[in-house]
Amino acid sequence: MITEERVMTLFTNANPVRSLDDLEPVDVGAAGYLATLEQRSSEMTQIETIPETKPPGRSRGPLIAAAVAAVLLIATIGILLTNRDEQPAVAPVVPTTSAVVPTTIASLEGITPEEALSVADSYFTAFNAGDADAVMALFTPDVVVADNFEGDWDLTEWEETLIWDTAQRTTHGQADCQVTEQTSDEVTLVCVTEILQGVTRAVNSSGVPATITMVVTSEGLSELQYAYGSPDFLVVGRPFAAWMAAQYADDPEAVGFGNWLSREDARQGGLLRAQRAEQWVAFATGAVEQAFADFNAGDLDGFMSRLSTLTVNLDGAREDAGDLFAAQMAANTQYTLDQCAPSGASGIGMLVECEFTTTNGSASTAGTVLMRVNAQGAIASIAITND
Amino acid sequence: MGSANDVRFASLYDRYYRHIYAYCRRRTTPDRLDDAVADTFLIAWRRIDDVPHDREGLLWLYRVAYRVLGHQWRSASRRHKLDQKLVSLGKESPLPPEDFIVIHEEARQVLEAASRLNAKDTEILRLVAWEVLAHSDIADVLGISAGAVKQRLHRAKKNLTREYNRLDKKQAHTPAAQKGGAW
Repeated sequence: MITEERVMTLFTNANPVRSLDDLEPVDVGAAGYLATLEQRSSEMTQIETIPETKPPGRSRGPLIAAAVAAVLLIATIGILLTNRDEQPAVAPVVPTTSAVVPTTIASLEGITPEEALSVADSYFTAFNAGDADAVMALFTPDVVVADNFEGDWDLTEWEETLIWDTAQRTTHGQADCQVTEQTSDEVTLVCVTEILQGVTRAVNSSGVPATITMVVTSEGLSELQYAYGSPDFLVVGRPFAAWMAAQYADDPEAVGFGNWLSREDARQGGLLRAQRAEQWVAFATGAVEQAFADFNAGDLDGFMSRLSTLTVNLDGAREDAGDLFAAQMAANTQYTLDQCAPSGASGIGMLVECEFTTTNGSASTAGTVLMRVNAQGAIASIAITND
Repeated sequence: MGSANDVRFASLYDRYYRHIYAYCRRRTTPDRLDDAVADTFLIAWRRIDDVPHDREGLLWLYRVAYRVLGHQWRSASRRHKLDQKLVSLGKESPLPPEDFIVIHEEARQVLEAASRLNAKDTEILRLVAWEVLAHSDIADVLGISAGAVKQRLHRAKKNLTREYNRLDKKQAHTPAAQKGGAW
């Protein structure tokens, strides 16, 4: 087994260009580069305004110009190279972008707002159905995907994230999409929705609000930008991660965001995350039920050892937990819990809410008890509301 | 472009051409190298007013080059890239042949291990090990927080080590190795 430090040394030494001094780049110098660019600028303008074609879209214009300039620059560099004696450090240049320009312009077609909305609908339908291939099939080859956490995404990484998400049954809620911009070849949509990740869904937390901007061309989705409206992923994710660290020490990295080496890794991570989320719910609700089983068995010490708080919120007033439950136990109070379910997560744990009925001799009361269960299964806060 | 901008661009180009050439050389295939460098400086020329001054300008160029190469990567398989990178490994090593074989094999293996990581993690490793950038600079180049860089770097190192050891184990179980190796 090799150590992390040794591997990093190997990686550092595998640097194909260890020193800038070792380079023999094909450098025409700034003056040569500028001369080439300026010579080409008038030709670029002509190409961008060919009257027989539709005007290129806002993202294509610079790309086309860049492609043309790159090709012409490369050609110039090639000519200059023939006059240099030193051996170039690189292979002969191949003008790989030359065929792109006329093809791209000739293939431009219009798209209607209705067609764009249909693409958006297909996107949400495919995503919610967990069909990652169908989602990816909607993208143009040069799609740009971004969000307000990561910035621009590498498409391979984004696809892995998509697979991770769909494996844990992440979905979008009903999306309200509006056309905000329209040109001859693309339509921009802004969709407002909410996103339910697997863990979020498991703990019955509200979805994360998101505004999604889509640029749709006749070739498909060319831009997809997510702006998440709140950090709710973290609000739920942090207590989940704390529970994972406490209960499954080896797993957090396996289910965590971005810890994948392949699509299959991502899928397995998503599946395991969903499974662990369900186990988290069972763990927290089980801890609550066990605590009240101790109470009903008359084990006050056992019950109190399951609380990590000294106080109880009883109908809005703070009470001493030891005093309150000791008094209830002395009066032979019995709790019957019903419909315990998570109601979100924040801070150090999951919120579990149960309806209850207490019996004390012939007297009976009903109400709701809301508890926060930490990663170790202790009840860290408790609020009782009598009906 | 006015002459002041020409001077500014010339200064940027002369100062950082080798850096960007090296950056692209480390990440792309020889036949795409000049495209990538030319596109990077073309964008700098078009947006010279946006390019920060001093060393921030280099980080800006790295950011542009990263995106330019990203477009190239989308159309190339990882395997193909790795093969091309290996071709570029030290052609004229001053080391004795025996040492070179060992180092070359280790380099091949660590690059193959790196190719199995996700793209952004690999890029962070490169920026740390090859461009020798600080976390805050990497954050600037990749458009993520310094905290995210730290977290990703930690994970990337661990995953790189794991993949390297996996490859080691795999090699140990090849028929040649089971018979005592090829030597």
